[in-house]
Amino acid sequence: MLFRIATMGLRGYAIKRGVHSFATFLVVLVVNFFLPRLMPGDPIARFMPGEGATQDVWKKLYRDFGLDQPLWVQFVLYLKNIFQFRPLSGYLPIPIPSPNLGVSFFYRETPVLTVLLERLPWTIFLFGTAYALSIVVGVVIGAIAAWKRGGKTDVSILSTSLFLRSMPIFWLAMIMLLIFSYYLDLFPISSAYTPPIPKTITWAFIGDVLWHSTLPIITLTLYLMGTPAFLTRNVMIDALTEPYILTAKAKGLKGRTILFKHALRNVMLPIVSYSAILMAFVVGGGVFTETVFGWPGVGREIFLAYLNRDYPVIQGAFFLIGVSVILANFIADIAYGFLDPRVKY
Amino acid sequence: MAIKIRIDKLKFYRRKIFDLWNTYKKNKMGIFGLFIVGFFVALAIFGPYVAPYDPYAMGIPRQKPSPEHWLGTNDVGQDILSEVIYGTRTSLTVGLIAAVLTVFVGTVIGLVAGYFGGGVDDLLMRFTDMVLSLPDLALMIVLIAYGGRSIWNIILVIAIVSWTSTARMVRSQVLSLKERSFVEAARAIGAGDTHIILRHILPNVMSIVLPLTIMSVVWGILTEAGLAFLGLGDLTIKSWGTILYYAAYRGGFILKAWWWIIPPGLCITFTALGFTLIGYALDEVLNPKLRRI
Repeated sequence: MLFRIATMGLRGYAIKRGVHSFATFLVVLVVNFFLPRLMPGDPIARFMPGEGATQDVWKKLYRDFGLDQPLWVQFVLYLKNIFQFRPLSGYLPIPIPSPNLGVSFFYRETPVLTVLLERLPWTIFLFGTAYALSIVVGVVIGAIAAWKRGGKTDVSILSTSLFLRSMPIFWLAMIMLLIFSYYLDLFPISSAYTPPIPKTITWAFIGDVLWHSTLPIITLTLYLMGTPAFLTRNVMIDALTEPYILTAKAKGLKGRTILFKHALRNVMLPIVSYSAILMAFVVGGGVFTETVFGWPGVGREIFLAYLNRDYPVIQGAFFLIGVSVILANFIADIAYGFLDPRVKY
Repeated sequence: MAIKIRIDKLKFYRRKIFDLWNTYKKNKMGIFGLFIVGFFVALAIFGPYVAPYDPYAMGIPRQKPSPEHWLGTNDVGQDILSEVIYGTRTSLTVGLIAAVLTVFVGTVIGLVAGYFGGGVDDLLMRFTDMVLSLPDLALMIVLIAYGGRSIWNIILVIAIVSWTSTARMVRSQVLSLKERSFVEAARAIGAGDTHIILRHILPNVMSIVLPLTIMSVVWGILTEAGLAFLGLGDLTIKSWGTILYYAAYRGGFILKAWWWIIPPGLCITFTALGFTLIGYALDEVLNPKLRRI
């Protein structure tokens, strides 16, 4: 009874979703622990740095992860490692979670967390831009297709987005790279910048990064925009049959005004829902694009880690991505509960 | 007498299939999709007879397209056209088997969760949510990194990661079916749960399960290609993804080898497109109330 009262309203909904997200987090935690230990092969080998690592690193690993201890001890140590906090250096003494995810094999003596966090900004930049662009462009195109339903524009828009969605994204990336970098020589072949990174961020550096990022962003945008376009078109087709649209037309409003000022509102909810789902893929979704374009993000790091048998990084990335997916879904749920009056809470 | 009932039943189903086919025929995109898929299936079956060379036989590497090698050769001299033809088999097989597995697991879970409801439903849905929250690509990479790179592993891994959406959709369909009168009637005459699920609910769920299977095939083909491209595929077997893997990492770009890069990808795209069109058409045919593009 008390539980019912406590979980009424938006706050209660947030609490319920919070509990659910936490439970899911626990699952990710446990799965991440058992995965290397349940797979064929020697689990200890998965943690050992290669030859050339100093004695200190070995000793630290043994101490931190309890590799010679029974399983339950290892699990406790694992939890201790995950729930580590360190104050945000200098500025504020707010504890920032900084889990100890082990040491990378490949990048000698570099902690896994450092490896991943260094790459994270690049991925967020790439995916964030493409994500925003694809939604904007997708919605506009979908709206136009719905307005000119059945006509040539509509059919061509539909078939193009269908075709784009059937393409494997890494192939689309390869084609873009082949045409625009190798044949036309307009864009660089790989990487996010021309090394070395200057000490201070200059305008030239920013321009360089933008030049490097053009192709990957365009590729990702093209690939992603099919779905919002499709979604918008379907929603709009229904919305455009409403009587108030007829009124607007009778009042003599221009097509563009009707489309974007009136009908577009209907599309908000599904697009927000879709955006929320997509946000979950920000951290891990760029594997293919980043690999083809040599973009130094988290996605490409996973691929490199696999190539180099860098198990700690693979696992650390899995954990990081899992956590960010849960976080993104939680934020999305809250936003959705806020926006959609039909969601019961 | 019993035989007459069976014959009537067969005639009934034959009629139904005829009707479905007649409706399907009217859908132009569906027919187009069928043609595309038919072409690739034929290629998969008759591939070895059609391919000009044995794709595993090495020859002069890095040749441009010529009358002897229509698509040139790759970095170890294997004929690319033959590679692509042989690759059809792998991609289609993996896609189909992974799809069947995915849909099977998803349907079973969806059926059980939807029909029995209550605690069972809650538990299964929590489980589904948790699998859903694990990042799919990262999980697949982890599973293959630790589990090895065989074809069967890939199929299993795809199925393990992809069954959740099927389960959810089947469950919501079952939930709406459960309240219908024929279920109540069947219960009234004492039909057991298994009987109701298998003989009444399952046939009605088929109208979404079939399109879902087709969509899962698309997903299976694209995922297999993606995994192969990352080097996670079975490198001993020719598949469109592995061809692209070698194209990317054995100099395909430096050579500006469009003949190496474009054909496999085009095949993947068209196969996926074909199945997608079939899936949409099937959905329209089986669920005429829901779709109207």
